[in-house]
Amino acid sequence: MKAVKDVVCPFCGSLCDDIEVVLDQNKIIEVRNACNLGAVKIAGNEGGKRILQPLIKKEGKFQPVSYDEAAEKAAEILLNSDYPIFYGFGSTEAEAHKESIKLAEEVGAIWDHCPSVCHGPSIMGIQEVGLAGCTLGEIRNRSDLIIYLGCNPMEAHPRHMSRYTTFPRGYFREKGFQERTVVVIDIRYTETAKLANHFLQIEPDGDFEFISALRAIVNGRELKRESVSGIPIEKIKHLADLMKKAKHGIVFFGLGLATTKGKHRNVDAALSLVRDLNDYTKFYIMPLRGHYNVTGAQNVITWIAGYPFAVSLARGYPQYNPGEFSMANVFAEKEVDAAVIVASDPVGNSPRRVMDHFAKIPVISLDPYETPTTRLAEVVFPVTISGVESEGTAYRMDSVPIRLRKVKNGPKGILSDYQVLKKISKKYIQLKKRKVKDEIIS
Amino acid sequence: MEEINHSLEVFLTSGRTIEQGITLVGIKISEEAKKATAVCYLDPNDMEKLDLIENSNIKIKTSEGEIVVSARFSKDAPHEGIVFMPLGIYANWITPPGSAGIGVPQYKGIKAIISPTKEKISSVEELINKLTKSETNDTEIT
Repeated sequence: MKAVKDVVCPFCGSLCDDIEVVLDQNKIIEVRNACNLGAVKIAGNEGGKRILQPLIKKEGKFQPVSYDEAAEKAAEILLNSDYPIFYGFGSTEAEAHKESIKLAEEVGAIWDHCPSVCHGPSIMGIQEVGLAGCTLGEIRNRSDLIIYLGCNPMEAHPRHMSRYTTFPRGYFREKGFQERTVVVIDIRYTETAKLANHFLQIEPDGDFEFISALRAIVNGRELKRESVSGIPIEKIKHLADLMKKAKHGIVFFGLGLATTKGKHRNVDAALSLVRDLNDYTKFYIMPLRGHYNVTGAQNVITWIAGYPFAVSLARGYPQYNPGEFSMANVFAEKEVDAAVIVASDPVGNSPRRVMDHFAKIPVISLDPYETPTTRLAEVVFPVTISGVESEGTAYRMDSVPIRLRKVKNGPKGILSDYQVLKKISKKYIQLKKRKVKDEIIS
Repeated sequence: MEEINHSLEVFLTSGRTIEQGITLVGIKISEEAKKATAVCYLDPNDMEKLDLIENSNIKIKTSEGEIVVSARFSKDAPHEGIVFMPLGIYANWITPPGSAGIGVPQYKGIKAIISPTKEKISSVEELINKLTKSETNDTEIT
């Protein structure tokens, strides 16, 4: 038996890097320090359906093939499509992101990732206003006011409060939670709200109005209203006071802000509020990112193409327009005619209209496990679990890159996302050259 | 027993739960995934209005279609008029793709109508089969 220390958890955007994994030979028998979600991700669920051989669908049934045959089929699909999309990437390493963008450029495809069904409006807000950002380490050591706005980390990022924000003792917060105030603003009295010092229950779709009122009060205006978005004005005044008096404040926001009515304008308002607060004290803001490397995918596409998501490479140069090129849109509008899905399950995670189109076009899926997407796919590549069976780089929600560790060997003969994408690339380039040659001859 | 006819207009919102998060790892097509995601949390007052008890089946209808799930008492009440579903294929079955022109679906604040039903809850497998077999999807969209 051996224990591997300082393992990075590849589940959520918190990327906890203090996990200990106990192994007996190549079998994980215990995962220490992780939350329920992290432990399950690292050790696997009982009955988890791993895919152990590349598959191609023939007459509606999957048939096992070799990686080379599957890569050839995938390359053929891409070569024969007019408007393909590459999508997913939230749960794989940055090296796979890079390789996939290279291939998407070669193919002339759309390249998009999880913000398309998640924090897209947040990114658009950040592009307009800018982000007063800091690291989770700074928050742990300095923050005395933590605000969770439209998010529920106790369910989505279970160690967020205990490791980074609320409960840990920090360099300047030696008494831990006793020196910190937590405020939760939500439409429900969530598990996170139950741990807060103050809970403000907001009406659905009331975010923009509430933040605007709060911003006005922070800037010294008087409001002639008794309540805004269901929150009494006295409570809003109290929050404004708490914010201005804080030594180091942080606002975390989730989809409760970004995907409700107003969308990127809500985020715009929250970012502007934090910008205003910096006239009085140090205040920061950060989106709570779901999958562990969605921030990485955003960073990689931005440093390659200049845009954060929903990028079309169809014209040979990058174009950015979320309303036109986002996965959710091109599927709902039935525009794309082939898809490469890496480390994601858009069939399970997207609206019905998107699912419908997935069932109608050839899909190439790379996933360690069986999902609704692999079920609808025409070519399925099994892969190793990044951060458990293969290493790579991931970016934490505060954009700090952390190297994922390999804890154990993957199933025999199974390749990583990066290696599979490289194989498809090679095949695609070969086939394309052959096609060009054939066209010249004929 | 007589079929209860009354229904309730609500705001449907979806989000993460720990139970749903666990089913993301290798068991998305399973009985566990159905148990974790084919549920809808209602305020106790709303449960009473519809004469529901824990685990009664309800039908949720939106502009996109309808789905049968299990009703549960919310632990996060009071939130009368707001119902919560964990993220997953069941919630997404009735989620609109979004209309703000920014290509992001509308996961929160969806107008929905809830009514008690005797119909059974489909398994994830059955929902996937509906996707592959349905040739009339276009006409279902309103």
